[in-house]
Amino acid sequence: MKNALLKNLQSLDGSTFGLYIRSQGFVSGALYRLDGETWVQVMVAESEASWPAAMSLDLNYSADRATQGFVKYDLSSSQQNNKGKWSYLYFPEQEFASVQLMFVVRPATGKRVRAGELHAGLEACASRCRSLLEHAQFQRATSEDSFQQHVSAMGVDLRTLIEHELRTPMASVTGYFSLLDGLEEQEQLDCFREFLPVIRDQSRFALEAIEKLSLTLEGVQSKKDNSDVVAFDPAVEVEKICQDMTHQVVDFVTPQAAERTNIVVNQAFDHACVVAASQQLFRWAFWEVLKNAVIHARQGRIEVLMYQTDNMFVVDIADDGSGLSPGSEELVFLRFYQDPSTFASRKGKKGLGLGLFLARQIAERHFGRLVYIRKQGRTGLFRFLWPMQEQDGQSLKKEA
Amino acid sequence: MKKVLVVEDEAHIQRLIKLVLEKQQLSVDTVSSGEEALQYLNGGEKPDLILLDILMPGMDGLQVLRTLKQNSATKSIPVVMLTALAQETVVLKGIELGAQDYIRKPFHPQELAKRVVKLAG
Repeated sequence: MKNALLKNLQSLDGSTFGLYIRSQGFVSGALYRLDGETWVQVMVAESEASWPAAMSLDLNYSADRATQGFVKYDLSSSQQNNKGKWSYLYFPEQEFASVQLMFVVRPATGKRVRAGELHAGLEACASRCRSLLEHAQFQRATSEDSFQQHVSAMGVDLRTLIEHELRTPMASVTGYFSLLDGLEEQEQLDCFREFLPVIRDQSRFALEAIEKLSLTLEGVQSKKDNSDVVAFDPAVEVEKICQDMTHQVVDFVTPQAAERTNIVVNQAFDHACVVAASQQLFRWAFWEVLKNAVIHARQGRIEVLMYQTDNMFVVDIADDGSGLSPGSEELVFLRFYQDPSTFASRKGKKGLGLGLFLARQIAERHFGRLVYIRKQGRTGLFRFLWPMQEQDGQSLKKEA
Repeated sequence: MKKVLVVEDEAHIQRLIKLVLEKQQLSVDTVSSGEEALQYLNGGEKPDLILLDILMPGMDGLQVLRTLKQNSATKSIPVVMLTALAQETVVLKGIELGAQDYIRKPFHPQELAKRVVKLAG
C-alpha cells in the first residue's frame, strides 16, 4: 500500500513549499490533490548544521481553517529521530482548497520558539506557468528568509526575472549579428571572428535558461519516462562528465581561471557498481553541481570523490572557494535562490538560480539525495547519494 | 563630441552598445551597476545622455533614475531606459520618474543608435 501511494504522489503536479527556520533548520514539503483526497508531504532537513540536540518540532495543521491535527517530529540526536525522513498528512475523501501548517520549535531548554506559519493553496492550475508564479508568490508571502527579499529588492517578480534571463542573451545574439549587416566582406569576416565567442556564449546561456525553465515548469517527474531508466555504472559517467567539463570550463569562467582549473577525481572502491536511473538526468544533475564548483573555485581546484556506503553510491564535490554564506545550506536548493556571496565569481552572468534546485529534484526523483555539507568554517561540499542496484538486478531503492 | 554613459551589468551588452554608439561618433563610458553610475556622476562627469538598464543586482535602474532626478546636478540629463522586462508597468514607472524614452531587449542596433543620437542632441 505504501509503495503504491508513494508512486501516486510522485506522479502528481504538487506545489512545494520550503520554510527556513533561522538558526534552527529547514522544513520542506509538497501538497498534492488526488482523486478527491488531499496529501501533505513534509520533510525535516537533516543538515548537520541544524537542529540542536534534544529538540522537537511540533506541527499543528488545519485544512480550510478547520483544525485537523498535530504531529511531533523528534529532532534529538537519537537514531530514531525524524530528521531527513518524509512524513505524510493524509485527508481521505476530502479535497481541501487550502492547508495551513504551523511549525513550533521546542529547544532543549523547553522554551517554545514559534517557527512560522505556512498557508498553502491547492487551486487547480491550468498551466504550469501560472502554477510556478503562484508558488513563487506564496513563498514570497510566507518565507522567513532572505532569498525572496533579495529578488523583491530588485523590484521585480520572478516571472520578469525569467524574462530578463532569456531576453538579455538574445539581445546580445541578435545585436551582434545585426552589427555585421552593411559591412564590407572582409570587415564582416573579421568582426564575425571577434563576435563568434560572444554569440556562442550567449546562445548557450539562453538555451540553458530555456532547458532549466522547461524542467521547472513541466516538473522533473514528467521528464522521466520509464523507458529512459537504464542500469549503468555511475562512476564511469562521473569520470566522463569531469572530462567534458575540463574541455568546456572556459564557457563558465575567465580564461585565466579556466587555465588553472583542475578537477581531481578519486574513487574509494574497487568494484563496479550499478544504479538504475535516467542517464540523461543523472548527467544533467551532476553537470550542474560540478559547474557550480568550477564557477566558485578560487584557485581552480575541484575534488570529486566517489565511494559506496549503505548501498548508496556517493559522490562528494568540493571546490576551494569560500563556501556558501552561513545559513544557506538548504536555501541554495530553493528555486531562484542565489547566495549573495557568489555574485562576484560568476562570469558576468547571474543565472536563474535553478540548477541546484533541479539537481536535487532529479536526485530525489531517483530516491537519492543532494545535500550541502559544511566543513570547517565556511568551506563545504556537495554530496550526491544514489541508491545502487543489487547484483541480481533487484532495485535497492529506499522508500522515503 | 557628445558623451553617453551606459549603465548595464551585462558585459556583452555593454560592449555591443559601445560598438554601436561609437560608430555614430559618440564617446561612450560604461559602468556595471547603479552604485557605480552614481559614483561616476558624483565625480563631476556630466554625460549628454544616460542609457540605463533597469534590472541590475543591488540598486536597480528605477532607483538610480529616482536619485538622478532628485539631484539638481543630474536631473536635466536625458535618460533612456534599457529593459528586458515586458511589463508595461515598469516602463510607465520609468517615464513617470522622468525617463525620456525606453528601449526593449533584444533591440536592433540601428534603432538604439537612432534614438540615442536624437536625444543626446
